[in-house]
Amino acid sequence: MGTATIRRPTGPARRVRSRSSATARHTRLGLGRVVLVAALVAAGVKLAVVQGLQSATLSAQASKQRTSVQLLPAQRGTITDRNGTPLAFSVAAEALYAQPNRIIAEQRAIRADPDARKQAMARRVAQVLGPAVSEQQILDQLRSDHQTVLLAPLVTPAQARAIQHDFPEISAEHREIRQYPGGELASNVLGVANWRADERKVRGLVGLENYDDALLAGRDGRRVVDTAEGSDAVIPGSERAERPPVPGSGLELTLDSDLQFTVAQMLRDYARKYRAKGASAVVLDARTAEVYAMANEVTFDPNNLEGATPEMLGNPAVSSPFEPGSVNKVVTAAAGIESGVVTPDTVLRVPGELRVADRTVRDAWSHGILNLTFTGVLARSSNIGTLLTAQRVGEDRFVDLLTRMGLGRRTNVGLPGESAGRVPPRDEWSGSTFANLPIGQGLSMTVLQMAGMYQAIANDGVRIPPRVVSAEIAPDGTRTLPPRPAGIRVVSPQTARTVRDMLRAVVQNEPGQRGTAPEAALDGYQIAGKSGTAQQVNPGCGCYSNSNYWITFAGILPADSPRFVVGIMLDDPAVGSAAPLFHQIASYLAGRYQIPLSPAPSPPAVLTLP
Amino acid sequence: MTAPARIAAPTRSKATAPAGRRDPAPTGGRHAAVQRGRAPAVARAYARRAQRTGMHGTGVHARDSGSAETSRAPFVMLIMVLLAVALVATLWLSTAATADSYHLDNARKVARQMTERSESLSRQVATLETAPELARRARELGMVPAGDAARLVVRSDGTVSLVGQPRRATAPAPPPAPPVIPAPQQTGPTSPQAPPAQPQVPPQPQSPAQPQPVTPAPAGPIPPAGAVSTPQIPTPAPQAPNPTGRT
Repeated sequence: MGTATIRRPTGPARRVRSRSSATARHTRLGLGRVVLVAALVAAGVKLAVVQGLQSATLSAQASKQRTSVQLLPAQRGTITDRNGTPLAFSVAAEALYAQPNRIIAEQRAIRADPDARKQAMARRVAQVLGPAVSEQQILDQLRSDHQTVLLAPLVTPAQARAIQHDFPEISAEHREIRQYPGGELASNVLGVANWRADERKVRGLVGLENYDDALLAGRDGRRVVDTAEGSDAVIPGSERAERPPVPGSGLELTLDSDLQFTVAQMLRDYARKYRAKGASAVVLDARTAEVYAMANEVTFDPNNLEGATPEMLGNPAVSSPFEPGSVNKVVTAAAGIESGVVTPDTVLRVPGELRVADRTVRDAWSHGILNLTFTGVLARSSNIGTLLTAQRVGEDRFVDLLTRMGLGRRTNVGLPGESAGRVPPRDEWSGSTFANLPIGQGLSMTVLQMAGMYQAIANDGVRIPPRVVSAEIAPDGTRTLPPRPAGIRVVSPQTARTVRDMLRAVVQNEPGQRGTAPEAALDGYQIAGKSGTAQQVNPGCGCYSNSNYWITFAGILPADSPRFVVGIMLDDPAVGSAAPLFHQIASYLAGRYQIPLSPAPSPPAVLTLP
Repeated sequence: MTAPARIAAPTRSKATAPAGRRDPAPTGGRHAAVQRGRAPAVARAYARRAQRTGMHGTGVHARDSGSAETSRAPFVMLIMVLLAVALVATLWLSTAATADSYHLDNARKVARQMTERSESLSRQVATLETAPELARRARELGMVPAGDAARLVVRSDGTVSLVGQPRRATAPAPPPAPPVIPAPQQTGPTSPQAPPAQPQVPPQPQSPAQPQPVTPAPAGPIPPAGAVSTPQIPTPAPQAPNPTGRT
């Protein structure tokens, strides 16, 4: 540019003027340059500050404005019975919250009366939720000066939306309700699960819900999204860090809810009729040992836990052992037949009393010397005859069989709180122990263990550990069968069949040859069973009581081709036998499962010889 | 980021400035300058480049550059049109996507309502088909348990025989007495199976979640009763028990 001016032919005056303008231009240029450079430097510094020093804070603030973390709740698995009837399932719900202080602030900001708003709010909530909530109560909560008040813990999403539509300041939070459509049906087995505020999830409290909680609960998912301001509309493509929820697996139980209900009802009616302190019953499949029904007299409604005591929440059928009494004589019978020391027709001379070590054992009825067949010993439940046989069998073989029958060990049926019962170890035995165990005193077992012994006899000598979960249903619907427990050979098939046949005599009602429990017989079916009466321990003296008894019964239906095993225990009822209850249950089983009639009635057995 | 690119253009022009006066001739000017007599090395270099780009002879070169000028305009137009179309398409797509996200939101809302409805209905079905509910309704209809069944057996020779005794089903005994020996503190949510005093109204579809609030979770799980198995048997007592088992 400078060169251009020089080339022009110009006069001196003009030169001066142009020189001064050039100076000014230089100044302007320099100034501009400085300003520009300063601006650039300023911008650079600001850039460094924003991008470098404040970047983390600023980007966090920015993302906070639009990012929201959404919890994707995992649905808890459903528990069904063996036919797919749901016993427990989950439904979504909402909890409604309000912030009284915020309501006041907002209403004052628009110069409205906060209390009028609260009244309208309470009215609307009460109107939507119906008579279950009290309008006054909600209003009281809204007028309180708490930071946040819970208006309603569990409402349906539709109800929550209806309320929020009118009162956006009421906030809703995801909840889940565990439903038990059957109420008390199988509640002691299922247990109960409820909402945990701290975990924001439904968790099992007792029973299967607690035992298999990890399986049922699944895993919550979460995702991070950008949402348009003031709405839940997700900006497309902004989903990130997504972790899908894994729904919980379902459980299919071996229970049959119809049978479960009927058995529970029969048991409860019977127990209440005879004022039993407690009662439990178990129905097992004779071949697979699947638990078809497990009922207790004391139970609870999982939909309403108010007033439920810990005793009611338990499952005595697996957690409360008792002394079985004569039901345990089946061990001696099986050991005697298996070892060949007796046959069903062996005649035993049974005296009126028997001294073992320091004590004298008598039968339940007084008699002189009797000639009982071994079948008769079982059918008439002679203590002395049983002990005479047990002495022939010997302690070793007897204890060995007790162990193989699964006594003194948990069955691992898949329920919490299971008791192993108690069998005194050999080194604790006193002289009279072997006079107690064969007749079912001095050892304890649960109803389930008791039924398990008879299942071994019903299943030709192979005891299958019982179980209550038949399959796990994955969220995608695939069924996983838990490993089938291996059977335990208890006695030979021949022995099992012989013992079964002998036990038929217990329910026979022949003139002069009457068993102890003819009430258990069922027309058209051969029934094998054993009644039991055990003295309870009197906690006062630590001795056996002569007024309090456990009344037990275990039976096989039908004896010639076993389908079901039923175990019953009544705690101190005002009746001496549970056989009528067995009859009711067996009669229902025969009808419900259309069990074919036995080809012939049980042949009469000779119990007593002259 | 864009700053270096912007700086680059003036730098180049500055670099070319000393090569000579600015020639107003547009694109072909540099090649014309070559013809006007440059340093021989520079001329050779341009010739080599011309050869590389497949142009032979400077005359042809000059003519070609003229036609390239005319053929480049439509190309530029094409690019501009493409850019414009792309811009419009992008705008349109992003608008559509945003609109769709609201549609999606609505559709989700509808789906959720449907799910809730189906949940509520299947819950009603589940409740109505449970054994206790069926039994209650049967009782309301005056039905009674059948009791022991009698059976007719058809033998292989065609004769029919009766097994069991057919009996008239009778109404069950009046509801059993309430538990006489209840647990001391038990205040009876487990009322005896007496039918409910007033017929239960089946749950209404719009209020399935009501009315039972689940009781708040205790601090920890309640251990099941008897979870701690306390052996009920005394170890063989010194004074030997005397079981006179009655059966």
